Amino acid sequence: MEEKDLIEKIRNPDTKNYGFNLLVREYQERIYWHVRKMVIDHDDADDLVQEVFIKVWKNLDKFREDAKLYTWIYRIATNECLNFLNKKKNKFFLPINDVAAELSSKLDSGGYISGDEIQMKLQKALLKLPDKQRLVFNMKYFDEMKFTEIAEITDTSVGALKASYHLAVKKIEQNLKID
Amino acid sequence: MSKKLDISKLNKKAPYGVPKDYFESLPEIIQSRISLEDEEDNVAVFDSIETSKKLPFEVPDRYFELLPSVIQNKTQESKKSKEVAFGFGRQQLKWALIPAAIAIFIVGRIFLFPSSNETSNTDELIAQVSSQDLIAYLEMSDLSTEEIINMVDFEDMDLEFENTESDMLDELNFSDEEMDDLLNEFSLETDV
Repeated sequence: MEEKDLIEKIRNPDTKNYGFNLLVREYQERIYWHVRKMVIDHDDADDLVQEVFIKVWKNLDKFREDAKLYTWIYRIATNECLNFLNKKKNKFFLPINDVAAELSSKLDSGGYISGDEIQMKLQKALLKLPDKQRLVFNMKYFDEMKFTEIAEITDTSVGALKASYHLAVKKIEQNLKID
Repeated sequence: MSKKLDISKLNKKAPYGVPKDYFESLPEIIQSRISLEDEEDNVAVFDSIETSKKLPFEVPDRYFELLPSVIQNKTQESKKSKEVAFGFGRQQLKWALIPAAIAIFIVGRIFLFPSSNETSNTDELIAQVSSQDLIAYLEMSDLSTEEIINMVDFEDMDLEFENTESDMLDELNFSDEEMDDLLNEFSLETDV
């Protein structure tokens, strides 16, 4: 379904629920994987994805259509991930390395994890990056988004994103060579 | 008479310079910028190591089939809880504040105007404490409003309520803005 048709259904009070249901079905997988890549654990991702769509529901009337619907939802999901990870650090007064270690241990022993050695090494190397840099890397490398799209979602300049991404690649290469 | 400027005698050296080793590093900087400009369509950038785009994550069976219903239920629940759970409006909030106002009044009455003619030293000492300090102390203490009221012997007291309840409500005198702030703080509905 075209985004404008979806928006039309959501704007109409008679079809708002139906439109929202279609919206969830349309975007749930992309949003889920975006979140899952950041928080690693399925249960955490599940909670966050539900929170994202509940926020979308509550703020549908505030969606201004100056950005694409998908960009707007993606932005909400991105902020939820970053807030979740920040809360983890603040709640337990953990420095970034301990949160990374916690997420890394979920890769080793968490449920719904299944990958080969190369995939696991890459994921663990990614966990050593700062959250925002990891986010940009995920969107570029795994989701193959254009820098212009990522710039809209993160409200960062394309130049800054390119620099961040290339630095991330260099760091990952170094981390993987060490390991 | 002005002197003529002889440009042949002027120093040809430019009055500005460049950072050390600038021209040695410039080609590399330009090259990396060119590759950044070109790479939009080329995503794979790991030159020297083997990587995989496949994610090592799985989901429970039928997860995406069931997720929309789960979310739909939660949106309906949040809609209902917003409508039902907190039904207080401005008037109800004013009524809810009456017991607190009465408790403060009684405490002030007890300590400022004791009924007994024979006061103990303790009572005299307490009477010297300002009512504001007493209220602040009671707020910090574990005493509930009920406990405070139970301490009072109403039969011995000569209480006169000058104000009716409706007057007391008016005297609470919250502005609309203050009332909105209170309602927002306690997540109370403003529409009754």
